[in-house]
Amino acid sequence: MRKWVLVIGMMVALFAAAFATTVVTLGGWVSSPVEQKAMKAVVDAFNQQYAGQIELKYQPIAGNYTLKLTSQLSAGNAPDIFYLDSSYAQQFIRSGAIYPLDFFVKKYNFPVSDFSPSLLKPFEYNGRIYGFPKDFSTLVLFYNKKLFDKYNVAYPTSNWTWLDFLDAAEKLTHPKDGVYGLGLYSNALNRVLPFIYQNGGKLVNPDLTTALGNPEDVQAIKFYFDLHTKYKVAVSPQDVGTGWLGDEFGKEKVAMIESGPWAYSFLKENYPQVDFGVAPLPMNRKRATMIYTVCYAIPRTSKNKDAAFKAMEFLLGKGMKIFTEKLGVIPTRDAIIKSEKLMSDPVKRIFIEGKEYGHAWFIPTPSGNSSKLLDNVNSLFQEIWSGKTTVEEAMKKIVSNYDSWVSGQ
Amino acid sequence: MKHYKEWIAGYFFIAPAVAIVALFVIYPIFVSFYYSFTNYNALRQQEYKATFNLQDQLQEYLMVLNMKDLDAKDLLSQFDPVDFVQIQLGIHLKPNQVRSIRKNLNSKKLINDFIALKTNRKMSGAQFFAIYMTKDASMFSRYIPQWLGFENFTKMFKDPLFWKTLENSVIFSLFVTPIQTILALLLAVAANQKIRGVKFFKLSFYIPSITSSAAISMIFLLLYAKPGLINRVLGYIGIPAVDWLSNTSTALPAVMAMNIWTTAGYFMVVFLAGLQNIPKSLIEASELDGAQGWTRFWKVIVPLLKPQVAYVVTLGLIGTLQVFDQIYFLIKNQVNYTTSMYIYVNAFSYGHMGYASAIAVFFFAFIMILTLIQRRVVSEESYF
Repeated sequence: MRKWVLVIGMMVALFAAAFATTVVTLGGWVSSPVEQKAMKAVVDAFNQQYAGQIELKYQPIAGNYTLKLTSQLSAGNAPDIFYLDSSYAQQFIRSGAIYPLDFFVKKYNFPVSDFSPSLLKPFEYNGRIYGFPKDFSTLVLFYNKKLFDKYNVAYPTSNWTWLDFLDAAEKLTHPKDGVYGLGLYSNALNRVLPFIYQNGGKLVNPDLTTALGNPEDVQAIKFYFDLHTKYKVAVSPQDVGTGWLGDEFGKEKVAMIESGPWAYSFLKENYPQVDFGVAPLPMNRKRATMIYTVCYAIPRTSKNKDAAFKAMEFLLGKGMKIFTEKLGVIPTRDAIIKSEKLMSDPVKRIFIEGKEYGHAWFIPTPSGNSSKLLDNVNSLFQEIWSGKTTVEEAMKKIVSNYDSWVSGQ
Repeated sequence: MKHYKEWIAGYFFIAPAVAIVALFVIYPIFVSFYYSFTNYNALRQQEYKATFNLQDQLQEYLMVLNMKDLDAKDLLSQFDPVDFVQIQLGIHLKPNQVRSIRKNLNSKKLINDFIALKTNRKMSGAQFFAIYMTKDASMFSRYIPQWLGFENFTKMFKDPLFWKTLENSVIFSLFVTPIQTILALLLAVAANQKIRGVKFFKLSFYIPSITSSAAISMIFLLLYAKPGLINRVLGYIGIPAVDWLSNTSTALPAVMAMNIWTTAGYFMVVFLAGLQNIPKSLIEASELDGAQGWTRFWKVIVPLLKPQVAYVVTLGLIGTLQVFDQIYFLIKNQVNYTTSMYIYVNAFSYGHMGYASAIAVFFFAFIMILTLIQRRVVSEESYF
């Protein structure tokens, strides 16, 4: 008899515990096993702290992320918290599928001012905030010290201008040795964009019409492609049979590339023999770089938004500290940058400073979707790169078709 | 009576297959036909179903932090129902819905409920309208994509990229179908010889068609790369290296070559079966009549393989027009897209599901008409 009471009692206790905890699911893509491990450590830390109240379940989404997320959102079974990349966040936000967080920010007094405005911009719409960034990267200039020494060129400084940059690239280009001054992508608007901003140009006007036809923009785009077609100092990774810029730089085919922290860790790991340094991107009229960031967002279909926000608060606090430390990526909270003394690291400092003068990578469009525009622009860029069309002709085409490429329907 | 029972049992046996085909083939065909006349957006599917706490939403919209001492008149003056629904609840409204909300949404009741703390509960958008609309609540029960009539189709006819992709698909088909058919036939004849190790050849011809398309694409990505094997071989005879897949004029032919290589083996099996079905006596008779080598091949064997040729050409035509996976893996520039790839990017990347459906419907009709014409030309009735 007593045995039965005990068993029933235990079952009741178990059930009560099971019902008392709110389950919050966390979804995101997985780019590496290290990242998955780091996120698991964050989730474990959360579950320890909130034991008995909220249980966070990590459910990474494999495969084509936006496609799967779209179908989950339309079926109403998306995770309670998921990643959104700055480049396409607006597409989800403007469709109404993402829940605005302003109410929770007020309710829980969440310190929004701890994030740089440039990092929040891709996740704002109609004066509301729909997500907070988990980490970020900026583009910097990587240079190969050995090649600079070999051809007797002074290392880049933080005050380098486009002219210094071009001058060095010309001195470093020695096709006979199989070495070029610079590695550039042949078809990526997001890599051309820093040049546009550095030249004082902009991507769109306040009414979301294109500004790509403006003289500053055209001039910058021309400079970018002239590096390959006119000055012949730049080659793409494909031109020299490599997969991407990091690979091209690691194999010492080029003396300089513009890339982010991912290239830094890739080079340290795969090409430890290459002695390289980093410097801010060269400037022209202005200093500018590209910011890549990913936020946590909550869907409108979430059943436990309050608990989800609490989990998000942790992910953006203690969780961010664990995650960024384990992965070596840069936290978005100024408080964490300060407490971890990241600014005293000469390399991280350059990456971090980029957020003050950088622009987050996204194209504001009426529907929030910019994929069609990007496909078209990048295709045209490839044609400029291979000499099939000129910058002027391509820009004419872009400007005249822009509206139809960004229209929602 | 027994007959009747068999009838029922038969239907039970095919029920799972019928259900699966109906759900995953027939239903999507009809739905995409419907979508082709609308601006359907999958992300809005949950618009009226997603739940929210109404009090939270009102507190946030009206910027009320403390629920004490609220003045109904003051709140009402700040409350714009259309703005609230669109921006706060994230529900997109059509012009007639905006008009209806302006007229029929009972803001007074809503604000009074809010002050009386009666709104502190979870509800969906549809429930919200059911409670607070004095009329027309049925207009707000679920997401209905906007009816566009033939707008998607007229847009399609004016879209130069669509015509470009259609041209690519047709060129792809016109080159690949005949070459793969002839190659498959030759392979089948070769594999039908009684020589040592013929099994090895059959196997190696057939392997490409059972290998994952993704794996093959990766292999060809390496072969076609600028420093890849093909360029190295061409380098020996003095031809400069070409970036086969990035170059817009070589990308499509490169994928065509790969497609022929992968599908020829599959169709070879069809011809092989046909060849083995040809009665030996016929061959012997033709030999007695003096038909040798090529003559026998063209005048006796090929005509006897006519049903197989019709089958292979039909399947080849449909397969090449619909080619997607290899394009998806290998083609980088959109001027080299085929129509099925263009449908995919419109639906899942550009967010133009309605437009993608319109192209799909057109493409369906296009392939059907081509197949019908082709069936007339290569008549097969006499053999089946």
